[in-house]
Amino acid sequence: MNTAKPALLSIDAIDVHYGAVQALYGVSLHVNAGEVVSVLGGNASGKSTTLKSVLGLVGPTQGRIVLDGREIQGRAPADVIDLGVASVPEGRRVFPDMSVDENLLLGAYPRRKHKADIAQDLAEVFTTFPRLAERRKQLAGTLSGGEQQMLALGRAWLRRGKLVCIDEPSMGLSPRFVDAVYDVLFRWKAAGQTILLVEQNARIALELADRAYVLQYGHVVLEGNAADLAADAAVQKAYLGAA
Amino acid sequence: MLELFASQIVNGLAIGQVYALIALGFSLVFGVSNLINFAQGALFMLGAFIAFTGVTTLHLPLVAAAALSVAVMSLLGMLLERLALRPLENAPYIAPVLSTLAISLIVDQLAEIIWSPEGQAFPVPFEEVTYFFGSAYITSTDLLIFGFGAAAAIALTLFLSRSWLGRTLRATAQDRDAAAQLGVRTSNVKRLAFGLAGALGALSGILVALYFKSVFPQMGLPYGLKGFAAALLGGLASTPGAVLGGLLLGIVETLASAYIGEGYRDLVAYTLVLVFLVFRPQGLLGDRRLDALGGLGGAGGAMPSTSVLSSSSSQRKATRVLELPPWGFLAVGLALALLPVATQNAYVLQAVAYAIIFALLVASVTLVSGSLGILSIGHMAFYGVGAYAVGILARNHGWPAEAALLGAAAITAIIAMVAALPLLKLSGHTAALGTLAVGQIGYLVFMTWLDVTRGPMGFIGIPAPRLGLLGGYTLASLTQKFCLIAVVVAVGLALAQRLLNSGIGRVWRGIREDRLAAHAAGLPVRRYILLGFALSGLLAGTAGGLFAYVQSVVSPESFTVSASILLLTLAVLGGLGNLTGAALAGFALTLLPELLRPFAEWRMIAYGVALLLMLRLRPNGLLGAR
Repeated sequence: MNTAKPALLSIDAIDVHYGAVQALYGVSLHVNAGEVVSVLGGNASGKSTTLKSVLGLVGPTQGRIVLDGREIQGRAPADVIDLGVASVPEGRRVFPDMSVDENLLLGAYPRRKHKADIAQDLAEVFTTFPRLAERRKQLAGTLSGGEQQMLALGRAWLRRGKLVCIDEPSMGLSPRFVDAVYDVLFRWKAAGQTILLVEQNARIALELADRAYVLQYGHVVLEGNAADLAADAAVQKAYLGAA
Repeated sequence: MLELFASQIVNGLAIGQVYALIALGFSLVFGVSNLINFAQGALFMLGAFIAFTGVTTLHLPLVAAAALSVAVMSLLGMLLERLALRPLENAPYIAPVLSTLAISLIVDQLAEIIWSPEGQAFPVPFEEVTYFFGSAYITSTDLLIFGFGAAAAIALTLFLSRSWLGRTLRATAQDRDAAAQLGVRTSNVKRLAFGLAGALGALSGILVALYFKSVFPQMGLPYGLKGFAAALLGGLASTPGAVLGGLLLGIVETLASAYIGEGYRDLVAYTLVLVFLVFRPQGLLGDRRLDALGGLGGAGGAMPSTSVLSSSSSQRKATRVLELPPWGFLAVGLALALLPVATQNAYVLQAVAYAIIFALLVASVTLVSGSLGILSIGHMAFYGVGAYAVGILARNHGWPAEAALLGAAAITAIIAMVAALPLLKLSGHTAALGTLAVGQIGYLVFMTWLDVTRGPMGFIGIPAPRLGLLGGYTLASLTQKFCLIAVVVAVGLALAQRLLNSGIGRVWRGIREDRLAAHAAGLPVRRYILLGFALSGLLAGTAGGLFAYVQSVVSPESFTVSASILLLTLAVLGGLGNLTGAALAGFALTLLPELLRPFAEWRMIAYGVALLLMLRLRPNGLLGAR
């Protein structure tokens, strides 16, 4: 199944522990360049933990994580981001007491020396998200949840990463905003952006993704093409609400 | 008249500028690590002394000495972060605060050893010029302080709003994890904040040294507290707020000292703090726009919590809690009451008597700070109220001991309850600051209310306790007083433990763990907080009354805020909310210095180091927090 070219990101049999509790058991997955890969699962299945170990927010006790030929397990988040990763954190996590402008700008922190490029990307984000353009000077904490999610997406976009990690972008949003968020992600996919997406909303994630992994109690229980998984009876029953 | 007023304003602005610089150090650190850095005062004092050494011993010009001091203090600020705070990242929220406290105890004492405890003249290398406008005047030092302070504040504001470093500093302050996920090295940012705090401390220390033309090792605490108050007035994490708060505080207290009297300078300053806490707890420029979204933390996605015992790592380690049952206190108390049978040595009995009184006092602190979760940095005020009350009732009105002690306890309970009124809506840091203001105001009232307390001269001639129930039998000897103390304290502690084991104690701990949830569960939270303060006041007042009986003289020096701070650390050492731990810590650590008298100089250092070690090894206290 592996193509000849090595994957952009590969996770190789990692275990993660939170104190005495084990959250992941030998989880392996890979993301090829230009691919959208989704990790699905219910509550406490370990999908967020998988993403967090890529970002260096938790350290695996076993196994390797390789990004672009470099082992990154156990490195600090800043080091991982420096290697060309962007992150849209769970629960948006915008800086509430800073303006929309400043929030976006901070997304470009690792490439802060390139002023001209940043200005250009900033303009691009504002055309993509006219709502944010209207509120440039407003404090991010006063935006609605949907607007904050847009801001978090725009902030990640300014990283111009090889890989964007997105954690539950639909969480806590009204259906209309979920659609708006995924409109943006479809556009990113069309532009060739590599994405690792963790999502509880399996239906919409499988529409977007090329491939997907299903986690349960810290194990990968299913993997395959998104279209195949969407048609899989077990997935339909467990995650898509089929009778 | 008007000219005098103008001079006062200028004076106020100059000293206010100094407060502003100290406050900026607080705000920077508070912003980045949500921590009230009690060591800021120590950094300030050290900064002044290093410049002093530079000028006197190394014969450097003032500017070079100042630069040296700023450089050294920046490094020390970073070192402070590395040694005292980094290891405590996942410890309970209260641990880093106490860690900075321990550091300041150590530094203050070291400074006394290195530079001697006496104040020394700070040589001002330039001729001071005074400019007159009519009868108003302004000195060149005022101008220097004002100009320099303003420049530093403006530079810092620009740095924070315009530079990448400043931006990451603010981002880290608001959401550390999110900043890390954007590639910010948050631990470097934190170190930078502490380095800046050190530099600001040094600058403000030097300016104060120039202003008063002297340095003294005890200068850290009073100015640290003022800077703290200024930061609070401005709105804890706001940079322009800190400056504004400093200036406001400077002007108000200068006017108070000019028009009411010098003794009222601090009284007015801390009353202002308390008024602000009631009517504008977010400070002058603090912001409540985000409160609808659950406040800064809520909007940032961080777990909202009011508990002093919880930590940023979501799991709380189970700790074993060692406690005496209520009757255990009675048994220990009776055993101690028999001590005079073993020895009649007055020195030993006196020392143990104080230790027993402190056991009760620290227990009263742990009731509020531990069980109720409102850190009290002002309990000495309640202790003092009890002491003066017994003095007044027993000497001026000739009450027997039972009535005087009960009366003192009741008066203290009422005063503690009144003092708690402004704190009802506050939690966390602001509540702690409120108790600090209460403690400071209490001390200042003892100092200035001459008709009743005789101020610094002390209240003298408190008669020996006379027991009305035993037909006026007077406990004249130390042995008899000792037995009275042991019995009263044992009964007090047993009743308090009984209460903590009851439903009331459970409600208190619930309020500590999550006040919002307690409200939501329909608990009358305010009533329980008032009750907690009243009962804590009852115990503290009793302890104070007993203290007055042993001493027969009471003076304000016994009730300072630094003593209150020490009390809180004792409560933490024993394990917050653990009455047995508090009593043990109070008892043992009052007695210990007596045993170590030859090493008196090193006492606070040893104590500070012990506190640091304990925070590392047993963050929940010796006997476990309950």
